[in-house]
Amino acid sequence: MLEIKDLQAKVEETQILKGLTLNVGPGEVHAVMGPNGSGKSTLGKVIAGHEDYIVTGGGVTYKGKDLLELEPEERACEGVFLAFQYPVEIPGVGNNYFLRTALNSIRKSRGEEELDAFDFISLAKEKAALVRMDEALLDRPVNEGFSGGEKKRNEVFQMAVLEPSLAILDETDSGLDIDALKAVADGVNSMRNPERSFIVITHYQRLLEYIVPDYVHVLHDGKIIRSGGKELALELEEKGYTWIEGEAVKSAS
Amino acid sequence: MMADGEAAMTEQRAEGAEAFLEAYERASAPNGASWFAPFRKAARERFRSVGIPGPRDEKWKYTHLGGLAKQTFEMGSPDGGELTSVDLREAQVADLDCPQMVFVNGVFQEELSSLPAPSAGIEVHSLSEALLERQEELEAFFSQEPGFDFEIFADLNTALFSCGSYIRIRRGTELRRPLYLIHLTSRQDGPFMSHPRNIIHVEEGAGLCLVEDYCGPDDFVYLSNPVTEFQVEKGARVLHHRLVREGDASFHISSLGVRQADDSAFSSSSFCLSGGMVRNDVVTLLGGEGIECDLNGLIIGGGKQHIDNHTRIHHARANCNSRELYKAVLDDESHGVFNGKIYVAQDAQKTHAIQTNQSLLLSPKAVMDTKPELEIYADDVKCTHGATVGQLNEDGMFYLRSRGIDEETARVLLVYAFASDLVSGIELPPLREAVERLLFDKLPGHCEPAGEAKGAC
Repeated sequence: MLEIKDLQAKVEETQILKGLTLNVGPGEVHAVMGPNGSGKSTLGKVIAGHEDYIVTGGGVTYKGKDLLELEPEERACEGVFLAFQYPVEIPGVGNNYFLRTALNSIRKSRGEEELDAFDFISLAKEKAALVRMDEALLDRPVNEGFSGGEKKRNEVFQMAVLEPSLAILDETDSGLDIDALKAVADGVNSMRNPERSFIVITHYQRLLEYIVPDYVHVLHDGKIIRSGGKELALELEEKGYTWIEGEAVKSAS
Repeated sequence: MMADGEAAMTEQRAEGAEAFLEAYERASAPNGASWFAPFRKAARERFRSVGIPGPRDEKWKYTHLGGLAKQTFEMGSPDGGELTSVDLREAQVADLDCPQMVFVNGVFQEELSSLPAPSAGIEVHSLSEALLERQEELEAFFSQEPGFDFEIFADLNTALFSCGSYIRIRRGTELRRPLYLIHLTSRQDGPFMSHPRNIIHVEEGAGLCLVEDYCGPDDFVYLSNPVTEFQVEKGARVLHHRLVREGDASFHISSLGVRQADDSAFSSSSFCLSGGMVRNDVVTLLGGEGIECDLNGLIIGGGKQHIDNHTRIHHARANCNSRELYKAVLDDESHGVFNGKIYVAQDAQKTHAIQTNQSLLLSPKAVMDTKPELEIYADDVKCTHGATVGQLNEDGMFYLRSRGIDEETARVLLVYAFASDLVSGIELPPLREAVERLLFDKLPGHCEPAGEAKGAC
């Protein structure tokens, strides 16, 4: 479904992705782990289409389409969703209004009917319950004054409403206490199905106890240096990133 | 060479000034009360000697009046113009469900107005009538005071005004509903000018919410030069909203003067949503202790609009707080100016003054000039000022677009987000919704006001 082939990307003059290859099939959950600066977040931003991230080589196709040719909003309409590591605050614009605008533009692109405010609100309440998000946050301006945990829940809530076919969670676990982590994981797990794929970007193994991945990839210096099953995450946790970096250097020489 | 050039310029400015005064003579407008004649004469002489300010005048450095000086404006007919109640409903920014005074082409329209029922608490008069009957009450408003320097256009107003309002809120009266002053300009045969004057006296412990609204047609050259003066007595509270919705070829030069006494609170928000060349001067004199003064302004500029907000807050006494928040959203080739002066006199210890000016440029050709000025003679004060000029937040754009929202709509939402604190600060819901709607209308893209999201949605 998602095919990333030899992807190279830079920000300003710094080359960050240096030939990343990854295939994600329908219904699969892939965890991407790696030390700081290895390119994990860059991968998410490139897939979602942030213009500061310049693709210098390789390609990304999604459901057979060249994803890199599409604007960020077109990618969203194709079913791509990025849960941000640092969600942006938008004062003055209600969370509900923002999300209804988003949902309706996606629905419109699919030729579906737009939801009115009433239909939307019942959907929103149902999904808020799913991620155990306080309904009061629906009426508040987008992320403004939200705690770190509330912001992350809001990301997963948005995912639940927009129902993407490919969701990328960029360090959604960072800054969460255990209850929030469980709520986020439950939300994600309830959305797992044979058509929907996930890329879970994380620094720690902890999240993967709750969102059990089918595959684990280790990113180092802009490339995937090791792939395996869920047990790879445990091994990493035990031995640390330096172990695998050492392995990588050994195999390269 | 320079001297010749300057002499020529001065002459040109004087001629320009003369043209305004001559138009007044031609219109043979009612001169009003005889007691007032010396005030008019003095104002006329000041305007004649100063003339129309040129670019070398520091206060007009960024706002050039060459276009204004070139025009010859007429005063218009003494009855103003035809306007039906249907036209009026269309012109009103919103149904504020409150007493209103309607002015068309600077002339008070009694039939279209709905003045509050006479009561012990409030008096609303047409100024031309009040001048004849209430010399004692009005005289002080026309006397000069140190620290209260209006720009020369206020003198032009004093010299030429024929209509306006005189509002008096009696001691301890708290009005439940706002008062709405709407000043409409209608299309005339040639360039036209009006000089409305509003005088508002809020007595001790009284409260008033006033909405001033100026609007006129596009593609028509006119000048509106209103002066609004508030006297806010001890412990009184005033909420003031000012809308500028003038036509795209218009000149709007306004002066707002506020004198505040002990423990009073004055809060003003101005919204400049359209107009050709707009200049707003606000002068507040904090003449007592324990005063709160809030001045806010939002500029939405597009096309070749020029909008200039000048404020001067004069802290004369101790223990007063002033806050200013001015924002500008500038698109196309529009030009915004903010000049905020805070003057703290030697006696004004424990002054706390905050000034903020934030501007958002949506186009590479839009320009913002911002200039804070602090003049402080007391040693125990806290005064801060900050100015930022920036573009739309790229991370915000990406965030919205990554959710499927197209670029144009995302821009509108972020501009709205930028302006939202000023708009959501409007305490009258119908006015807030109307300003929100005008703001969205002005922005490119197809987006409905987002305010509904807070509750109804």
